[in-house]
Amino acid sequence: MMQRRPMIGLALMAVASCIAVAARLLVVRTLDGSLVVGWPGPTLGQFRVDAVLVACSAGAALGASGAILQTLLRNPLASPFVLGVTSGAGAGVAFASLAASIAGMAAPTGAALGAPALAGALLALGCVLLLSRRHGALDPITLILGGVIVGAIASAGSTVAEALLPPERRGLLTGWLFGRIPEVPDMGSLAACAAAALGLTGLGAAWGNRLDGAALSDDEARSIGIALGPMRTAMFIGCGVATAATVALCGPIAFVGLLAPHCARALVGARNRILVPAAAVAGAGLLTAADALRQWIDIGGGRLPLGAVTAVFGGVAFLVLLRRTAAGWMA
Amino acid sequence: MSALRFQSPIIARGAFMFAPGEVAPSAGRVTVLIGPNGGGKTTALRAAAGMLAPEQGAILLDGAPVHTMPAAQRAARMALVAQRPEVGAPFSVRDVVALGRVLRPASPERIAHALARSGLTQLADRPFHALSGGQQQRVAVARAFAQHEPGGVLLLDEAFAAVDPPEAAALVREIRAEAAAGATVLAATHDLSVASALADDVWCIAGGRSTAFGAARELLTRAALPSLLGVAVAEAHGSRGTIAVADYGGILPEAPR
Repeated sequence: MMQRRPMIGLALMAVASCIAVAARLLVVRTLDGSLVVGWPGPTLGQFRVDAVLVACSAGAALGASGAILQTLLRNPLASPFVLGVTSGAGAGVAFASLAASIAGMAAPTGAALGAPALAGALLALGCVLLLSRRHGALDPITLILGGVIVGAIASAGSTVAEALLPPERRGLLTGWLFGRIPEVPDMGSLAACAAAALGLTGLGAAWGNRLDGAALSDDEARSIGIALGPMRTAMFIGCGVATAATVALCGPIAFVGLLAPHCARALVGARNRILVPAAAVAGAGLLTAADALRQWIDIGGGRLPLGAVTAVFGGVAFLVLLRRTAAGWMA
Repeated sequence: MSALRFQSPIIARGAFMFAPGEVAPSAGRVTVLIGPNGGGKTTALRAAAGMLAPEQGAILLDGAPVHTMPAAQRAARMALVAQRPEVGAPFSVRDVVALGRVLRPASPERIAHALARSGLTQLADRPFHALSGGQQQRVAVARAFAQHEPGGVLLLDEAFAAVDPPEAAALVREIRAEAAAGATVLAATHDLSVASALADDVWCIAGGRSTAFGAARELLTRAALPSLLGVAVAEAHGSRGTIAVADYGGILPEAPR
């Protein structure tokens, strides 16, 4: 009885995510503004398949790392971006643009931004992890503050780099900050992100019981047998690398990593052995659904940026969450 | 049976120095830690649980330094109830109690038994965070019951500070039963009536040093306690023996005999 309910929840979540995938594959708005249902054939369809693969990998990585971080940081409002990787990636992109401008090269766009984004994200992650060492172990509270500080410094760096660009090259960073699901993704980045999502989900599920134990206070967690230091280090690095891989592939995508774990928790409960895989499925479904929705909303000339969709829906959901959990979890 | 031994450990925490000397709580008995606030009761329990590394000396569990023992190995022989139980995820009461067996196999019956011993059977499926402070403390004790093996060590840091008298009395009985079955129990409390009910031995710590260690019937008395705790003490006749009570200067008129 206790075992069956989470499995039913996981199945429901998988079905919902499959519906989102089908919707993204089969329903698009054409240039003349009409919604068309159907499959355009293998050549054009490949764009949709690639977009779904990107959304599922990135969403799963964000969902799994959000679930793990909410447990490890003992905070329902934690998201993968507390690790400072987004701002770090933004700074990487800004400085890459500046370097290209100084060297007299064309402004980098699309997949060419993946490498500097990844480098910036990993650099910021390294700084945050170094800053949050206390008594030889990683401390959750210091980690949150370290993430805020590193993020602020990286954002300041981005602003400076952007200001130094010639006027015609500015604005690139703003576009990048919206996040996007590329229909022609860099296959290396996609493979890296998918591998990170699968690896992190597997690790979180395999160590699910230990993660549950880490929700207790430090002393209590150690006293029930959790080797807290090594586990935190491994998990924070895993979450940081997976998030960096999504940021390199898609740019920063707001709220999915925050909301997916809550959707999953509502259906499967809070035990991490099943919560982490469920949050990965929920993240994949949410991000695919957001990308599908973006295709359908007619705003005249173009389409809504993905980040706008996740931010509008995610922001409202976040407010609801804040009202509900502020009194709830930490008591 | 596990043997716990403080072998003149020295632990410095800022200006505070914990240096209790040689102390060995006996297996099969309940040792109650008393002493003023900030005197070192919690440090003693955290050190016994392997959370603090002594600069000199050692705290030994069956002859091995407890703070270098692998966490999983230590958890099989020793359970700790911290002063303020914290659960940073929306778990049910049953989930939290099951964490006592997180690395070892546990039957649902064992978890149910631990819940029943702390009087939590009716609350098992409630969210932990919906419970009162005293109920949450009982959940932490139940988790320690689930974790504890016969003959192991139980460390309790003010584990009933917020628990109501009827539930506290029941927990006292369960913990005495663990000691009778061979457990080494070390329990800090500032409540003298709880200490009177729980203690075989009393260990008093003040300023990080041991000021007394001995049998409860000699130390929990009107003669010995005032110099140890700095408070007047009255003695009352309980159902099973004498009870020490802190005398804060009660103003109730004497009842007619």
